[in-house]
Amino acid sequence: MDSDLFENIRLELRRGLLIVAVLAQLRREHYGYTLRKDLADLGLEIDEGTLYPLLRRLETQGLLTSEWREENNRRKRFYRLSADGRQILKQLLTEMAKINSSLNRIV
Amino acid sequence: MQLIERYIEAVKFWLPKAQQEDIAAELHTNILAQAEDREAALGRPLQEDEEVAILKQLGPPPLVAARYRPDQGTVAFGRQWIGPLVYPFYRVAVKATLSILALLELLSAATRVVAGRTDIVQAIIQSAWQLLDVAIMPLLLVTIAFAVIDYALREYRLAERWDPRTLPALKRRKQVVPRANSIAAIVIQLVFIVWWLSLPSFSEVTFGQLRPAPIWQTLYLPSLFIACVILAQNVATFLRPTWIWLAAAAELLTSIASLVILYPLLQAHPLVLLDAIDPSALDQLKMVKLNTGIHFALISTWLGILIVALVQAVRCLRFTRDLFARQHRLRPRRL
Repeated sequence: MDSDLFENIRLELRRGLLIVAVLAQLRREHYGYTLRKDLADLGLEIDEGTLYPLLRRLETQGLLTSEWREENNRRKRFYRLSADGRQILKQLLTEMAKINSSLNRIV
Repeated sequence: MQLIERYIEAVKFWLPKAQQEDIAAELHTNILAQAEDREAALGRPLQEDEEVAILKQLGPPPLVAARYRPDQGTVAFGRQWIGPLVYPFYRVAVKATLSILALLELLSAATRVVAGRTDIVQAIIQSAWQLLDVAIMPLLLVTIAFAVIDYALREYRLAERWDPRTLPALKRRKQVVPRANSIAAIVIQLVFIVWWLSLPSFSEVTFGQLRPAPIWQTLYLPSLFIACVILAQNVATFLRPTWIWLAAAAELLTSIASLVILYPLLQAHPLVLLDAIDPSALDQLKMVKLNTGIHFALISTWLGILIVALVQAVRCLRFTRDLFARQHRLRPRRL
């Protein structure tokens, strides 16, 4: 029961942070797989089943733009942060910094 | 890599139609890139077990597709009964249940109106009220069934036990109408047209002492026209078997035309006449019964054609939506 509870809270905590990480990483253009790999290399593992639909949702919300393009003889969908996404990311990073500094004082 | 193709096909099945091809293409690219990366690391092609591992990590196709669906949500009373993974399918099941019940109520209302037992407004109000009443139990059962599925998925970790090797084999990509079907339809239509054209050469069609009422003659030319349209459609489908939309469009048009030309018959009375010079009272009573029987048979036929028209209208809408979706996909988005 306790481990389930921890897992639920952990997932809730991660959900918002993953969005920030994805938006930040997409300041540079990526397609799904390389984005996942880069995030994993930076220490943030996201499973494909979460990341790929998340990219679609962020695009629908206007935070990302995408383009199908051929690379190494294969068509890939490349994502990049949109102007709105850049604005939101800036606000999110400010908010995170505030929360972090408060947390550092609290804990 | 055939396992990956089978996986993509299975995911596609569960995706919303409008985004099916686009999401499947993207997912395919990402899985192939992951597989190739692994192959480069191993220095050899992947074995089946390694492909299975990649796909198992992604999860069972219905659950992967559920994450892409726009209708995300949960059902909770006190606690969560249906989670976000099962919810999109629950919504589809609820919609399907309500549609079937509404269609049955609509048919029952149409029958009452056509039979002259009630007027349209009263029939609609009665059916809407009836629908509220009859829908409660089926919707409750659907909700319980999906709550059980959700519970089983979580409690017994069914998603983790799933084996990609059990995925169905790949189907033929392009949907086609078999040419044998078109040939059979062409032959049937030709036989019908020849028989129909020969009818005027008989001075009067009678069945013993029974004779059809003059109103039936109004069907002659429209029926011939409909038969010719169906014949032309079957010839075109024979020549272009991939034009599956054509059969749906032709059937929609001919169904609507049939509804229009049959409608006056529903109002007509009598439909069959007796040729006897001095019919007895018993004969007249039998004629009333016969005419009532034919009248109800016509109402049933008319309602049957109405259902066909509705089904074909939905199919035509889907073909149009797919066409727009394809055109939209072909137009590259700009960064």
